[in-house]
Amino acid sequence: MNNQAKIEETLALWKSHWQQAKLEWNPMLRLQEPIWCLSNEDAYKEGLTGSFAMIRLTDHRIVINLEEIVERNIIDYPLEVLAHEIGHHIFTPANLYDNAVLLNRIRFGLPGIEDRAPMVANLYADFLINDKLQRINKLRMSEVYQAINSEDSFSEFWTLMMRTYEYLWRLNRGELATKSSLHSKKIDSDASLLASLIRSYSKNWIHGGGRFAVMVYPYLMDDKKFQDARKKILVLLDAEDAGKGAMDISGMTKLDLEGYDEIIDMRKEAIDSKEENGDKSKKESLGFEKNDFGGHGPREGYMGPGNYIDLMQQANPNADEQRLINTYYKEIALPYLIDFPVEISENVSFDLPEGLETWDIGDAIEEVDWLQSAILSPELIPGLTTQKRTFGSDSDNSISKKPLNVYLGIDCSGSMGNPRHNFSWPILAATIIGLSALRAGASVMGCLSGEPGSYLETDGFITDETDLLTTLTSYLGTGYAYGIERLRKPFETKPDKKSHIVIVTDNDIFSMLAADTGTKQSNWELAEIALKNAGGHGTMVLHSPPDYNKDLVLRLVKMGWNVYYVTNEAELLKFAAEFSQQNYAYV
Amino acid sequence: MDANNGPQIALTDKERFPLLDDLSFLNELRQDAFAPKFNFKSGDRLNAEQLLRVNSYKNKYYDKKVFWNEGQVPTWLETYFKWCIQTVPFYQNKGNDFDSFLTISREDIRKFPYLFVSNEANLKELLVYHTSGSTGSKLDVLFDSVSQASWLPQIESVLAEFNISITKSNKSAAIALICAQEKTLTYASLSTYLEGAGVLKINLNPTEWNHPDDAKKYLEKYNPEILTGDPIAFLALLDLKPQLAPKALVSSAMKLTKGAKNKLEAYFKCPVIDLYSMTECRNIAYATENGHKVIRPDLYLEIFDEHTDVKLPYGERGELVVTGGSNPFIPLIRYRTGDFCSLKIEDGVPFLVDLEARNPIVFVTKSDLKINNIDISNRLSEFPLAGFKMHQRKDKSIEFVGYSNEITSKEIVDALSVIFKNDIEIEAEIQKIGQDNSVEKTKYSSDFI
Amino acid sequence: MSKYDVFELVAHLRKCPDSYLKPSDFFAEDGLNSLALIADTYRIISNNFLKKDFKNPTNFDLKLIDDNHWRAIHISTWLLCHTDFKNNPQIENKLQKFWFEELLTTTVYVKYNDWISDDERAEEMVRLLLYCCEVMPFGESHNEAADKLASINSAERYKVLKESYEAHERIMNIKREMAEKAAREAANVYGRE
Repeated sequence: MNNQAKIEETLALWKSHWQQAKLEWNPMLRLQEPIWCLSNEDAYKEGLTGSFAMIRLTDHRIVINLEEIVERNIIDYPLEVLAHEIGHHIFTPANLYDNAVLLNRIRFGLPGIEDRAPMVANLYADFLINDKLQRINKLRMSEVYQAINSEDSFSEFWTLMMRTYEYLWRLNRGELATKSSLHSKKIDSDASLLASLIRSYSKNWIHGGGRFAVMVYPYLMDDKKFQDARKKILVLLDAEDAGKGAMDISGMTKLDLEGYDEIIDMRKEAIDSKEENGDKSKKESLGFEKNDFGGHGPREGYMGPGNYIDLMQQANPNADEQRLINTYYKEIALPYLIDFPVEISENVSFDLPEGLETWDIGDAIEEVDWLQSAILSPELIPGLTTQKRTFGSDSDNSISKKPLNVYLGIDCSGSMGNPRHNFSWPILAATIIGLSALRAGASVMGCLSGEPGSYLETDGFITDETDLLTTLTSYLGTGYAYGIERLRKPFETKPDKKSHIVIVTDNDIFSMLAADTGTKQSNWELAEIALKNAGGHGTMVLHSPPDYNKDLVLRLVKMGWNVYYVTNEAELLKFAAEFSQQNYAYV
Repeated sequence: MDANNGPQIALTDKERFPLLDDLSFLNELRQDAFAPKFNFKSGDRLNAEQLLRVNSYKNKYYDKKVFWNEGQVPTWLETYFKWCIQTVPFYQNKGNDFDSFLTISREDIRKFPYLFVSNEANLKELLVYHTSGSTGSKLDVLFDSVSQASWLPQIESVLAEFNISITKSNKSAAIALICAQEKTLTYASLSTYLEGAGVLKINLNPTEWNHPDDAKKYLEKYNPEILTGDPIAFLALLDLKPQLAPKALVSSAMKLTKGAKNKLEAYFKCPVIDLYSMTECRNIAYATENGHKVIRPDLYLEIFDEHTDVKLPYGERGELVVTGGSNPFIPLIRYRTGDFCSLKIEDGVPFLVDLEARNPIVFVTKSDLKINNIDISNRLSEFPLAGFKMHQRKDKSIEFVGYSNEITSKEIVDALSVIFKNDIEIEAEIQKIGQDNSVEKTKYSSDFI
Repeated sequence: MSKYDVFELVAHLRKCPDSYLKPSDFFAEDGLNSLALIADTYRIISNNFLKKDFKNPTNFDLKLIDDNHWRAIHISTWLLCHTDFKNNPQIENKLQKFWFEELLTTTVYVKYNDWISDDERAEEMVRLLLYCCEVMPFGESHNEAADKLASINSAERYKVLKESYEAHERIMNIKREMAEKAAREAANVYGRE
């Protein structure tokens, strides 16, 4: 049990350095002691595999695997390792939001290979932290690398990383990049640029992520090269999964235009700055396809849903795809929702501050109550000492009119795109109407239908936002139109409460109306009965030129249906906002 | 639903045929009362300079009677090899001795297609096919209009051995590529090299025509001189009993069985040529009594051990390895074809003996409707599958094993059910891909063969 | 303090006063008198304050020196004010090579203010000067010193970056073309493959 004794001994040694490690950053720093794992099994239980240390942004913890530390023979560097891990918490990436922003910017710089972003972000953060600790705090970071690196850990990529440290710290060639057969002039030049990048962006590191990614892109471009590189340095990846298990991080759907402009190839900058004749001020962001990243939705200001899901799952590998897609459409819908109906209340003050609770990393940054946070502690540790105010809404407010329920029927046939892959205007429209109705206190029934084929609907009229969004953001892609038959269940007989019917579809609905139902009742008749029983208004939103199928449209209008034409999908937004205002905002 | 996954029509006819002024025959082919519902447009894109290059390609190589002799290499090889090493990134820094140069594989091209583009290649001329390939794994094939059009002189050289020539006239249909698939691009086009003669790509699938009889009527009306396609398509054509008088049938992509060849020759009363070709370098050889006779003096062929980089002597069986070609976007050096044979040289012309190409597999629905494996490959190529095995049992049920971390077996069953017209039993299993897999090469098999 | 310590010299160089950054009187009336500055430097180094004849390029050649190069020379004279170089007559005849040959090649790639603002360029000037003076930096072997100078050589770096950038650009262009063309019409297919 020699080994066990050594681990115990190491534990004592490392524990004794914890205070000092915190001092390297800030004497006031409040951070819980690391979770010390005495064995690989313990570490595994904490989610630490492959490396000897990691951070968790979700609970602000550091996890250390002492068995691995003994094995790797880095017992003598407690200060270096601990200070490094603390650096991830308080310097970079520091919090879930910044982590996600950095990841997003790095993804910009890795077109086609966005899956490498977490590793690249981890290594970028390592540079920033290690450079500070080595140069300013005079810690022996270079020796830690010497201890961990083995001949086997070197790839072209890792040689670049180590050469960069050699440049940063003015070490001799080969002190860190020990496999000299991999050295090349190309790596030297790139390393020298990277070193200057790390120095220049140490204060505002979030702006250097894009450049960093572009620099390492050629080294990670090929799958195999990447896998090799990653496997070999797995032991050093301590922040790749830092956001695992995080709550929703809000505010990420918007396109990061600033970040996009920072995708610059430093090689080109270096060449251009010497070629005086080139256009000087023209900072050329790389011509990568902007569309892959954004330009979706209202004012083309949002990233695409697929890209959003990928990003958020990198920020938090445990993030649930369904939850993310719900958040995505909800966030984009928010500006168009009706205000909470509390406004009509006679009661003047509705934003009654009720108390304080801890502001956590996933919350919107605007919600932080800085004054209260400062009162609680002079030192701001996100999620620990940060506070936010909670507001009470007036539960008494009496709404003079009862809002009608709404039934949302969405054509989800083959002509519709999958809202998880491509931004979907019909789904945004349905989200706006649905959430507005919920805000106003109404119930909503949602139904996706692509028939003949399949359909998916909520369990009647519901008030649960998640259930509603989950239904709306699903996808069928079957059949050719919304199935009129779906109106039977809610409206064959008069429901308890009156309801609007909104059906979003296109010209093919007329084929559906005329389709053989196999029963005595035609779809036309069903549409008429349903409308009557619903007792509210029915609106058929048709994606169609206004003069198409005039006679058939007239027939619908005679039944009492409103027909709203949209000639492009973006107009659905206008419809949804107007509809919500008219029916649910009692101003 | 997935119609927009294919290439988009984005050109004008002027861009398709820069050198052809009279497109009346093209319009006739497109607008004929019996014409299929063409779903695409295509041209050969040849401009004057490129047409010259096609013609010079023909003149440069096809007067050649001696390709090389045993113990020699072709005269062009040294220059070509040097050019590759100097201008093709993939080959740089890999040594400069041809004899010890390592072989490359389809995987290399699939992974790094851009590294195979010569620095001298003009990217403006780049064209891309995204193919499923008959083996199922995806490959982006880069080429230019010249190497594409070179198919014609290559075929002419084969036809010449049968004393057949293609008529160069803007009033007749020269070539019809016959398909019998669930879905494929179809179009009517012309050939600039053949002075405006018609080129058709058609799908016999009845849903592609206005009336079931139209396929037969259309083909009979234009009576194309050369029919090309795979054996499955030709057998499907035979079922229609069309009154056609082609000068030759050119069968490729799958092995043509003797039975099928005899049947086709008896019916069409013309030679049926079994061509060995591959996307990466186009036509290579055609079947004769003596083995496959090589038709490309611009290719250097060698035989290598399947597993090691050891070159085998003439007469010994192994994997066919190709060097050369006319495509500046994939210049090949020692490219492993995945096909097996031995090599012999007769009067300076190489023959591939006992060539074993990819086997054709026909699946059937419960009611014995034939299903082409290319349809299956095409459809499944839309899924993120690393590979798959598909087998049809005696009771006609399908056994499917795929490798993927993303899709479900239900998606596979749904996709296959569509192809099999909902008339089949399918058992599908999706195996996860781990860190170290021994995923087998895509394979079709059937108890019926 | 150790003599010829690179860090020490870099620190000194980076403290270069603004007055050294002015253009030469070859270009601006109120510019620095470059030749006087050079003469002073010679005097300090040789510790001979009466010295009058210096090895300078001919008047004709001096007129060909551009502004960026002159300012680099001005900055280097500040570097040469460091005590390590004072009273050091053996390097006197090495300076012409440094100023008018080595700095000339390098200034093509370095903007004059980078010699001060950029750590690495400052180190390059220090090392270049030591190399020209045939002096070994403190604590370094001949090979180490040579490698470090080569590692930060601006001219070399420029050449390599240009090559690797162009090679990478070519690949990215092909990828872009591939993505674009794959979605477009290709050309006639004549047979199955």
